[in-house]
Amino acid sequence: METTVRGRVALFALGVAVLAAAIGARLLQLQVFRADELAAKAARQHEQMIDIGGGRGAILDREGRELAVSVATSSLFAHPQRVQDRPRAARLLARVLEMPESKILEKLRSEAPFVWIRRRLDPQTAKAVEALPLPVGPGKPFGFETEGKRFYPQGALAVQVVGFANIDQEGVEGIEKVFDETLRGDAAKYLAVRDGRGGMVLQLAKAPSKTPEDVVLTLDLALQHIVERELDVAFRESGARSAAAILLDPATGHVLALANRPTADPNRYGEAKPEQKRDRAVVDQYEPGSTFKVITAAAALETGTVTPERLFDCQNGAIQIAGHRIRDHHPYGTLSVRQILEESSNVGMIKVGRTISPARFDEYVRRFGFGARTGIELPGEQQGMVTPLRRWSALTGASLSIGQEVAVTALQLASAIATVANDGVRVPPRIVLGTRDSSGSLRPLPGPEPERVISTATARTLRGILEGVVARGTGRKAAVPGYRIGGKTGTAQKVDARGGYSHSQFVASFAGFGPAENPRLAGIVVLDSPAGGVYYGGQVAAPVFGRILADALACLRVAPDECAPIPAEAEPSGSAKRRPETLLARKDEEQTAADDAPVATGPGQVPDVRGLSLREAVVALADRNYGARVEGSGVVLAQAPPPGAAVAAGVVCSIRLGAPPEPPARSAAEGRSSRAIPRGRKG
Amino acid sequence: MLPRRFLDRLDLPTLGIALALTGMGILAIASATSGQPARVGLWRVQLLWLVVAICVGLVIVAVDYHVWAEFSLALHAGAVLLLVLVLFVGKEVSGNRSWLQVGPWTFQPSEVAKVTTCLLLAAYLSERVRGEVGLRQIVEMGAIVALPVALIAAQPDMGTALTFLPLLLAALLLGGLRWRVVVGILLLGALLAPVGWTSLKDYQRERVLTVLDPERDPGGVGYQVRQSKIAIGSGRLAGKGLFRGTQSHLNFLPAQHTDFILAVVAEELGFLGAAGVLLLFHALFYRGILAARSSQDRLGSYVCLLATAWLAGQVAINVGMVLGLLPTIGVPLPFLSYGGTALVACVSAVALVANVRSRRFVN
Repeated sequence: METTVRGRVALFALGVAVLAAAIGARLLQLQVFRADELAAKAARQHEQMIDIGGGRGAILDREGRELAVSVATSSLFAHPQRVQDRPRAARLLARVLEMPESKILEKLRSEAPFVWIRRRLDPQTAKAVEALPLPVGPGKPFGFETEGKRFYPQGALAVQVVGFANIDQEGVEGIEKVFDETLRGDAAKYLAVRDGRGGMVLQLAKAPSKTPEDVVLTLDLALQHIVERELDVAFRESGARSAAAILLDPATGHVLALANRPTADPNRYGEAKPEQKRDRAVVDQYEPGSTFKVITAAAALETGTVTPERLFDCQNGAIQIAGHRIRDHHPYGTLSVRQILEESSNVGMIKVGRTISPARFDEYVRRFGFGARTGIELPGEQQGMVTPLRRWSALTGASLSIGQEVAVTALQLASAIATVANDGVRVPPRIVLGTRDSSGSLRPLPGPEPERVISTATARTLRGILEGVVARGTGRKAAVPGYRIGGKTGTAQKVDARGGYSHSQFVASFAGFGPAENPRLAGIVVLDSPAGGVYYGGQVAAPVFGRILADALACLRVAPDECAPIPAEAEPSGSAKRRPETLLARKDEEQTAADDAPVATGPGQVPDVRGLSLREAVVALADRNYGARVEGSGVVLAQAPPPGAAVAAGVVCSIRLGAPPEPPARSAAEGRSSRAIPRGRKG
Repeated sequence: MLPRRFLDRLDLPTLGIALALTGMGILAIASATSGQPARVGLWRVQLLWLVVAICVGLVIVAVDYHVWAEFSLALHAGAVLLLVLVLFVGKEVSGNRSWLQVGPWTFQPSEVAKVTTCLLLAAYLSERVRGEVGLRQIVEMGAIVALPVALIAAQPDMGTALTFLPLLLAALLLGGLRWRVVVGILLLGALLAPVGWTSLKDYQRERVLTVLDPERDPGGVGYQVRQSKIAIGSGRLAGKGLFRGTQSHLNFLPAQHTDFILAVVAEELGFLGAAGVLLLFHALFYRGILAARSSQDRLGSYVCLLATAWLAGQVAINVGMVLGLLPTIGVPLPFLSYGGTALVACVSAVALVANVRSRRFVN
């Protein structure tokens, strides 16, 4: 080899060696000296601890019907550093997501390897995003992740009870809040190893110690629906500022229905105003007025200072106490205790109250649960206000006797009336039956301890008196055809801005139970500040309670009291206007027993009840979820709508009863045997 | 079939190094594609190409390099023809018309052109250049290189076009340049640099700037380099273990089985693995220079040196890019990167070196 070429080859070799040295040095720099820094970057980039709570338990009614569930939705995310034209992407997304462009751009300029753009999109929006000329999908700068979103299938039904869970599925109100831990369970920790294409490899880092559980409420959706419907009508027609209604099972303290007005749509909770979210039945306290007279009477009857027939002089409607003059709405002479309650005489009740010592009176008020929280599983419950014994003034005893100088919640009063309905045993109200794990087995929540407040005898006596209130007294409009109902009206003046009692602002209420003999339901209807000059509890609240109980008892298939005395004013006036779903019978549409042969019907159709007894007819109608409006007594002669008519559930049918027709029409017995009553078919 | 004498004379160390590098590459390809369902079998394809490459290499070694040199002009003309052909009937892949399809096989004529350019330059240097190269020789050698480069740039595949540059530089160096000429070329380059800068496309300028300031655009152009450095750095001294790289397996690393294959090696086998690969390359280049020095004639020396220059240049460009020292240029790493024709071409280059080495004592 020539020397010149040798020299050039050496030069060439030198060049290669220099390059090799440079590369070797760089490799050493990256892998040894900067290794920690770069390894940390790598870890930050592909490892991210992510909580996959995802699931949230459902909230169910006592029959397992869903009030709140979680549904899978798509959440849009981005790897900001991989987005090419950020302003363009922000502009495109802003239009579809209805978000400010600047906000999206800010997210896209983030340093983080992963940002949420918008979470829990509805399917249409997600589709619209996919249709954009943007790189969306696995391995692209944008992608979707499945996340749970709270959905309330029953809409506004019992919204203040169920409450609300926010976008992160954290319960913020109602049962959602109180039972957040149970519903949420324990989120699993995943080491989300994100790859450079936006895909995700999940490695379980910490298994959930507890899966989400369902919360089963004591509510009965069917009854809740009835209460909501009736309360809604009453709220609109009375022009009240707010309203609340509760139905309790007296034997168990279970809240079967609890409704408030105004109300909100939980699926659009962001738009709801605070007053719509307020669970008034437990967080609002008010002066009960006359409904509280039940407590006064119970204390006096139980201590034996009065009997139902003991007479008191009602002084023609006014009494002077400690410089205050307390009036009756109507002047009365001498009335028995029974009549005092029936007519709701203030003067008489004050005198009944005086027969008990303050200490005793206070004791009974507190034993009925006033002045203390009931302990119901709802947030923000108020305890009400009961004047401590040592602070009693000369007026306090008299005021308390007629439900003044005391503040209660609707739930406390409902619970007190339920105590009377439950033969004097108070079962503190509760609204959560238990929790249900993924295997579907119910774990009951320990119930509160029942406590006897008054004797069975006193309770029964009192129930008899309260039945009279509905049968003859101020509560006549609460009467339910076919059932004996008891209860007490209340019309309390609100305290006005000057600290005195208002003459225009009232709280109208009715607390009651039914059937009187063996009460299955107890409850209350409270209307705050009804407008339009009609404000008496007996006029405004009692009919609502009556309508609720009529449908609720039918719904529960409680057998009607056969020989129920149907009062003259059983039909609340103006019921046709109030109840648009009532199909009033016109003579030409009525189907009478004599008209034709029995009609075979199926579900969704009005059953043929002609020729049946009242009890049989109501049960047959209730079986198909129809209500009954009754006229007359004997056997069913006519019904509207006619048998076989396809009518929506919940509609109230009219039935007219009378003496069984003479032959040739078939006898009632034949009619009964020829038509099987579908009792218990639904199990 | 092969004469025993032939096997005895075969340059086994050089071929062994090439084989080791290819084996390393196939392992790395298998690892890099293991997480990608669409690419999971690619290592087998590469293995098949290795068989083809060995056959081609044996043919090259079997025929005396003087014979190859004699036909080099015709071979180069054929390669150029293929490059013209590819512009018209080539298969377009992500904007580049670089592949010719023959039955189920696709191959890159540009890789073939590297081999023929190498041969032709060596033949030219040994035939036409005595003493120092004159202007005429510079122009003629420039033309030999420029023709394929222009055609490849038209595909457009700037990266591959660039790999011809080391060949020309080495040829000029070996031919012997007067210092005046060297200075002149450097001055001309400096003068033309602004012109060249403005003629670059925006994304190409961005790539150059990114080398100077890696954080310039971490999401866009800087992304690949940044990810590559993170993958390499996180491999540390001993690596995360073969098939255990997080960055490459989770697709943070771009083009991990092709241009950035060294990052996979560095991440999974650490500094030791990457340095080992680079040492193997260095040994290969040393063998090339050794073969050049021991060659019986100038033609043999030039063939070896040019082949080595080509491979060394391509390694330097690729590794420089992967390590973030050079702008991102789509150049595969010889022997390791996935790509059939490139493997065959690289093996051909080594076969040429072995050819020269095996004939050093002839006559």
